Amino acid sequence: MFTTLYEDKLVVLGGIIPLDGRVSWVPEGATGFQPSNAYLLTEGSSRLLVDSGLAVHSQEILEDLAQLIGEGGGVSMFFTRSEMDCVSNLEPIAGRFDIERLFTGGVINPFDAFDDLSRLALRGRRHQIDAQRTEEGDSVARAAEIEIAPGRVLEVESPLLRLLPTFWGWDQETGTLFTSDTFTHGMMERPDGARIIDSTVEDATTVEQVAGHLYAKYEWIPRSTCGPLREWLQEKFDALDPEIIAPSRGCVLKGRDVVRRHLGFMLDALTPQLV
Amino acid sequence: MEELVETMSSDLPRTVAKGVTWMSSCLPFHLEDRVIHGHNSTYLVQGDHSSILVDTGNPSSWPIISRTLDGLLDGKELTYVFPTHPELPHTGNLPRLVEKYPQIQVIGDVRDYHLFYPQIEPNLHAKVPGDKVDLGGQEFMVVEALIRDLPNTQWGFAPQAGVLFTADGFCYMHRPELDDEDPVHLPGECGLTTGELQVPIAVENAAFFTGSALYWARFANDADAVYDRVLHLIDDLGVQSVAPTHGNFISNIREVEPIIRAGHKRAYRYETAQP
Repeated sequence: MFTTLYEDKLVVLGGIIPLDGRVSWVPEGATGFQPSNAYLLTEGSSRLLVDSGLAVHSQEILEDLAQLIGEGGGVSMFFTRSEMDCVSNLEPIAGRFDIERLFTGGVINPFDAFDDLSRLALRGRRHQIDAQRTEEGDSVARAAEIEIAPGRVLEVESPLLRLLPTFWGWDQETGTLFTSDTFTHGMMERPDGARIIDSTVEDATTVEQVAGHLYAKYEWIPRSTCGPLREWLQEKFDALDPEIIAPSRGCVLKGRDVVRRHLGFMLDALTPQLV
Repeated sequence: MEELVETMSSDLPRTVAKGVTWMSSCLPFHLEDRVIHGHNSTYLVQGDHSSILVDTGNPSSWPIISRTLDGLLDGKELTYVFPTHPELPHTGNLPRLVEKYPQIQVIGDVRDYHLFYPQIEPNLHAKVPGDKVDLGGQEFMVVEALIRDLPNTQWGFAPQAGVLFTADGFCYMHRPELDDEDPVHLPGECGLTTGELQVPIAVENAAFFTGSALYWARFANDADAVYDRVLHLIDDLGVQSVAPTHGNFISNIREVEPIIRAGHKRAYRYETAQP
């Protein structure tokens, strides 16, 4: 069941992952439940879906989309990463809705995962968002803009804090920063718990929890030079002052106080001697 | 019509060690003045009664892989598949393999796969480093991945053949003039081992590739520790050759390792930066 984050502008949809020892991107021994997120940005009749969720949640995603955009409706898509937690519902979505445009990075066209007939029809709808690389290959300041509708864009950049090729998105209209596989630490004790951490929720997050989730996937952080990563992150948040952090996994973090608190956790997690 | 299927060199498949066949489909990159290729290799290890496929290849190369397996297996079923880690070039054909060989066992660190491919959950069989499968006069052993990006990456080793399968480890470019961050080669070089290449690997290209594909190398200044462990593993296991997914088959690992190590060191960015 989807949840509205910003009326008529932004919803989060997706399923819940039970943490039972079979998930690699959470700390060893983690229990509870983790949301898996896709986000639908809406402007009038135009829509952009950020990531597509997990295949195991395919039916939930499809039913939510049908309710939000109408059966067979048109939608553009943007993948923050080409990893399976972001892309694995591309084919079922394409089978039921009209994918108008697909924005991805990397050398592989995700439509190539399809059978030939579908691929033939869809391949040309892909837009490469990282065609122009910087000399150093690092973070690209506002490298690309995805027009959701005239007057509303999603600004895209490749973050300095990443593991594999990754893109963050910034929607100024809703103050939302899409952070892909960082800020994924918000857990739920029960599958029907709150998937949004805001000022109405008791937030028991600790820096150890944030570090545990970060290091589970970014296992190199504790042995790395993290100063540049902290500086980049601090500057990014100072410049954008986001209202919402929207990761591809974990609870959505909503409200500037919540965002600032969790930024502090993350900066401390990027100072491993503090954890 | 645009070419939709990745091409395979007429030099492949090729037997590269006892019971080990190098199957590679090559992704063509069309530049302004030339075409270059990027390996996306799979390897078939065959014993007297069983066989294992290391990595699955891209979905777009499934017709080639399926056809090549038909020829190599000569009517037998494929017994095992070992996906080194869950990125599309390594796992994207898992559903097709299960459909073609319903009894196949998917072995390795299979965390997350039930979320990405729920339809193949009965075929998943978790293995840890040190676990072996008997192929009949040939074994396949799961090995800890010492160079990796995703946390659920594993390497494999075929003791009787002396081949170490290293996934994204030991991927490199060998032509300094090819300015791309993917490990590429020229048409005609698809089926050559490193010992057969006319142009040696360049440290600067190994550095560029390492800093891009193994992004953490920019931040972690521990190349010597990493490659010392790799050399210990090579000695302990008696490795004769190394089989990466992207890049030519490495027949002269003792000559190649110092170049990759030097490239890895050069990928580190922050020699004088704060910790």
